[in-house]
Order: sequence, then C-alpha cells, then structure tokens
Amino acid sequence: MTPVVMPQVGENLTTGVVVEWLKSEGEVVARGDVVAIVESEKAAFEVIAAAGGTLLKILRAAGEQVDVLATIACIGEAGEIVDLDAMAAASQTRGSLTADGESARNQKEPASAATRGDSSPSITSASLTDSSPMRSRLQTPSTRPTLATTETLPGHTLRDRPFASPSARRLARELLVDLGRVNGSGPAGRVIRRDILTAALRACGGAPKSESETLPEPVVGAGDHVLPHTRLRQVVASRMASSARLIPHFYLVADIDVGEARQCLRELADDGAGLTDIVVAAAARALRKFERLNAHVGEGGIVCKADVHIGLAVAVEEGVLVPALSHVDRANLATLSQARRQITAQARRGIVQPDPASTFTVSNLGPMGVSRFLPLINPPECAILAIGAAEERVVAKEGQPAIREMLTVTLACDHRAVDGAYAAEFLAHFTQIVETARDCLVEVNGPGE
Amino acid sequence: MTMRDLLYRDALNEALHEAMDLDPTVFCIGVGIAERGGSYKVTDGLLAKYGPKRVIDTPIAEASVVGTGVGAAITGMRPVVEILFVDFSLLVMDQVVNQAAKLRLMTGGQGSVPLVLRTQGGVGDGVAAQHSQSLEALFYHIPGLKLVMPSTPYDAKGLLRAAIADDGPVIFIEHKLLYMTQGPVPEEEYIVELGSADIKRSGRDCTLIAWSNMIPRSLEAAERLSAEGLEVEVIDPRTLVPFDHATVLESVRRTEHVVIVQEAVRRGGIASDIASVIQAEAFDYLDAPIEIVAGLDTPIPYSRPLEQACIPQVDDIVAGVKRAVYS
Repeated sequence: MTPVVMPQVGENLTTGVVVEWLKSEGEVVARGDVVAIVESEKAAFEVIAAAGGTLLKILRAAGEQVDVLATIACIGEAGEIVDLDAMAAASQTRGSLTADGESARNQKEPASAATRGDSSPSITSASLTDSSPMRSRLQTPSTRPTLATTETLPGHTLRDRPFASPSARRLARELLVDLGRVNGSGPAGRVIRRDILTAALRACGGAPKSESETLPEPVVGAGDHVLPHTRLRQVVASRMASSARLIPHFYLVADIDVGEARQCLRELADDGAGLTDIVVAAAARALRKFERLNAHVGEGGIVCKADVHIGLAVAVEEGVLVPALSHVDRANLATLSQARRQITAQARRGIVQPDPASTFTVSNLGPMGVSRFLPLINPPECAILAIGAAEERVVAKEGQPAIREMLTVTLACDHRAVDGAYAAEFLAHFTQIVETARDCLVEVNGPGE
Repeated sequence: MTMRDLLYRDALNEALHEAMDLDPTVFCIGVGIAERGGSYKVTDGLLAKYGPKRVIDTPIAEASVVGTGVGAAITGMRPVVEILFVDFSLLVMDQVVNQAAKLRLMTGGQGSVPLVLRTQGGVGDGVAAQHSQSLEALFYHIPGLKLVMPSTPYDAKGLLRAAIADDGPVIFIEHKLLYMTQGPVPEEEYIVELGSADIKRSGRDCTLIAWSNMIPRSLEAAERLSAEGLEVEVIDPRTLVPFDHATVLESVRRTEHVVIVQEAVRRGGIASDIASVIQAEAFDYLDAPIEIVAGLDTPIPYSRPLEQACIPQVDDIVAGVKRAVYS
C-alpha cells in the first residue's frame, strides 16, 4: 500500500489545503497520475500518484487543512484492506532506518507518512506564475524523487529551479524579472528570451490584476523589437493606470490674460523666471483659500494638507518625475523661481527628494507649443493644473478687439472630493491672482487667509 | 571598383597569373597542371605564359610533389602545389604536418615555409567515397597551418593572393561544386586578408556560420526563411585558421541564436570547435543551444540520392535554423 501525502512545497510551510480530488475512491490510478490539487498560501500544486493501483481510501476531504507530509489518501490493490495503523507503523520503521534529520522529524510526527524511495510523492506546480517562492523549493530533501522517477513522468517537470537559456537569465537580471514567475515556452519548459520579454511587458502594470482588468497582451512578432519598461516607467505606468482607472476626473478650462504677469517678470529682471513661476505662485496662493484642492484623497475622506507643496511634472528619459516645491504659498516670486529651477534641474538628473510630498501638481506643456491638454491627477492628490502655451490672441476688451497674450489652463479635479462649482470658484480666484500678478512678487507672512 | 562576373575557377586562375607576374619566386607544381591546365582549369594558360620552369607537371607521386614544394619554400621560393583531391592529401601528411607546419617554430622563427597547398574537396559530384571527403578538420587541428576555404569567386581570388603572399604554410581547399559558379570580381587587383570573415547576408534573428559550398546552400535557406519572416545572418569565416572570432561573436551577441553548417561529418569537426568558442565567449547571450547541421557519420556513397542524404541540404538548414530559433 502506498500513501499519498500532503507535499511539503515550501520550507516554512507546515500545512496545506486539499483543494480538489481528481480521482475518487475505487478509481484505478497509474503512477504519475495527478490525483489531487493542494494549495499552500501562495500557489496550487498537483499531487501525483507515486505508484499505480486503486485509490483505496481518501482520508482528508477537499477543503481540509492538513499537516505537510501527512497521509491524505492511500493507493493499493483493489480489495486490499486499508490498515492505517500498519501504514503508520511502516512509515515509522522506514523513518528509523535512516538516521538523518528528516527521519527524526518523521518520528516526532507519527501521523506523517514515510516519503522516501518509491513512496515519495511527486509534485509539480499547477500555477507557476504565482509560485516563485515555492518553485525553488519544489522538492525538499524528504520528497525528492529519484531521477528514474522523473524520467518516467513525461509532461511533469521536476526540478528545483527553472531551466532558462543563458540569454533569458541575463535579460531577467537586467529587467528585474523573477525567473521563477515566468512560464517557459522552450523545449521542456525552458525559459527563453522572448518569455522574459513577455513577462517584462506584463509586469508593467505593477501588481497582478484581476481577470476583468487585463488588457489584450501585446505579441512580439519576428522583426518587432521590445522596449521593456524601466523601473521609472513601471512606476509611472502603474500610478497613471490607477489614476485613470480609479479617479473620476472632471476638467475646467480658463483663458487667462498674462499681460500683467509679463510686466511683473520684466520687473523681476531674472531671465530664468517665467510664467510657470507666476502660475505656481498664484496656484499656491489660491489653494490657501480652497483647502479641498490642496488635499490627499482617500476612500473615506480627504486629508486637507496644512502646507502647500506644489509638485512640478518634469519630463525625464522614460518617464515623468514630480519634485515638490515646498511652502510655495509663502515664497516671493524670485525665491520661488530659483527653487523651481533648482529642483527641476535636479529632477532631470534623476534626483527627487521624497519630502515633502506634493499636495497639488502643475504640469506645463506650454513651452512645447501645446495650447491646452487634459492631465491625469497624480494620486493621492485631488487636482492637477495643466498649463498651455502663452500666445497672442485677439480678444474683446471694452467693446473693442484687442491683442492680448493669453494662456489657457485646464484644471483636473477628483470628483470624489470636490464638485464643479467649488473647482470653478478656485479657478476664478486663481485667474484673478495671475491677472494681478504683482501680488506674487511679495512674500506672504503668517498662515493662509 | 569595376566589377565583372567571373567563374570561381577563372578567379583563381587570375590570382595565379597576378601572383606569378608580381613575384618571380612563385611557381606552380602538380599533377596535370601544366600541359592540361589542371582538371578544373585553374592553372590554364600558365604554362604558355611562364614556361615549364615555373609551371611544372609531375608524376602521380603526391608526397614527393609536396616535399618538393616544402623544400623549395624553405629556400625562399613561393610554391603553389596542387593536390587534385583533398582525399589524396592523406599521402602528404608527413610533409605537411611534420615538416611544413613545424619548421618555423623549430628554427626559432629563422625559417619559414611560404607554401600554398591548393586542393579541392567536398561532396556532390557523384565521385564516391574516396573522392568526396571534407577533410578540413584534419588540417584545422594542426598548429602551424593556415586553412582557407573560399565560397565565392571574389573570395577565391583575393584569398589565394593573400595565401601566396603569406609566409606560413597555407592549406587552400577549393570545392568541386563551386568551380563553375559565377560572381562579381573587380577588374583591379585586391587581396582578402586571411582571418577576416564576411557577412554574406545580414539578419537579426539567427547567426548562421558556414563555409565553402555550404554558403550558397545556406543563403538559399536564408532566402526561404526570409519569406517566413526569419532573417538569418550568414557569416562566412572564409579562413578557418586564423578564425575571425570577433565578427562571429558580435553577430551572436546580436541574434542570440546560432546555427553552424558544415558539410563534413559532425564528430570532431570544426563546427564543434566554433561552437565551443561561442559558448565560452558569448554564453550569456545564447537563447538556445547552438545548432550544428553537419554531414552524417558515413563514408559518402556513390549513389546520388544517398550522397545527397549524407550532407546538409537546404531543407536541413532551414530545419536547423527553425530549431535554433524555437520556430
């Protein structure tokens, strides 16, 4: 009689759950047949019959949690009487024949079956994609099958690490892909280069997604080439996907006359200062009055931040960084502009200070000629302001056509936190500050209005 | 350069004419090369132009012919010795391996053997087991010998000029099926350096290394694979000793898949040695085991269908590439 035991599929695991019996009592099984699916915390595994015969008795039903190496069923000849005591005794005897640590453990656990030699269960991972911690420990010393066993089980790969081509291994190192999580498409499940590329493509969304959230997978054809996501790209992809998926955005657009702002900049006599600085300063000042937009949004409420730290979207290679300008609401324009240029330059070199976290973000594509655009909110912030290009337009002024330098801004808000009227008031206030830019030249003392 | 199409055999003939014009120490010696102009007409016209002292017919006595060449080379001549079939070169192994290959080292570099041994080998003319061998690995194995196996008229001419100019003994193996192939050759004189591989076809998906008559066959396979979307890079090392590892390794690191095609029997062959260098130098770039498409482990049968079955055909090469790229 041969026991079927709960496999030890991880070093630190003490129990597993029987998920499903694929064979029923009385059914004939061949050596190598998958008789049951069991699952650890992290993955499901197949339990394979170590001997052919009849599945005499299922001892632990589906759903039961069982100690590893405990007998969950037994296989023998049809009609054979199932003598659990004898089987336990046999396992005791076999365990005591070897004087290593494994048998010592067996002796301490009389219920566990002997698992050496012919009675060793063979296991394969049923869900390789989620089994990386398991995969390297598929076989503990106590359950290692002989090579001959492996060879007689076609279709079941038994090994303690994935086979992978040298190229795949190198690429996995470079792209930080966990080889154990990759399904190999080469012969005998060998992980090859294109498997790593595919895995790298799939990893771009960050955390594993549920079935309903997956998009069609790209296919790498002959002649195509893959630009795997860098770490930064992965972060940007993940955060922006979350933003687009989870935040109900709405947008308000305003045209702003920046004549006064230009005049202020001339007076400032700093070639590096620009409209961006006026916009950032005005936004910061306006936010002091509209606390719901200077906030971090959660499921059950919003955190109105005490300070105004404006994040600036800075394009870098393979992504966007958002360094924060701290306490912008209090700074005068000259100081702000210098600080803005400093953190922007740092960000272009890849340096961003983690503190303080920005409370509102400004994104400026104006210098690149974009007249207006719809930005995605930088979570967990509540809003983002998109600046377009300043350009001369014909506008009506006091019944006459006039040429004014105008700027179009777009405010994106999280509708979970604020509504249109509130955002519109903010935008109007902001517009007014930009149009009377002179106020921004001076420092603001004390707390907000 | 002004190009015209020449036969492989005529390109070789031009190289001999040019070398003999240029250097009075160059002479040709072999069985049937003078009056008859060579069985494949490579030495045609030389006798008339350069006379019997520089274009010498010999009896069928290969060891003596090569021995004559080795001796002449030691004294400063530049003999081009022809052995009609590479199969017969087994008779001259002592002269080549024990004498020609060793002299430079044994004289502490004071002596040299600027000999070219021209011969012809390979499968495909229905000339049976004793006239169809691909024996390049024998020479490849011997330190002190250079080994040249051109696949095109251009390479044949440029490499023969380089071989004659070289101060070491050079084994120059032509292919019996290539003599009547045509290709562009410049009007002007030129030399193809020994040890410079040639990328006969560029491709991104797989590096295919082949030489001699396996080149046209591999190019045909590459064309067929291209129609299926697989772009194979075909590299002809042109000289197997010295071997241009740099070109091969650069390609392998790009394509990550390798096929080596050799007409000779696989066991103990040059393909295996090239593979060993690739795995050592570009291990981390290999996405698949190196695929070797080689001749079967058998003497070549006289029967044409069996002869074809023994050596790589276009279908075999196509299949080998597909295995290498998991297609």
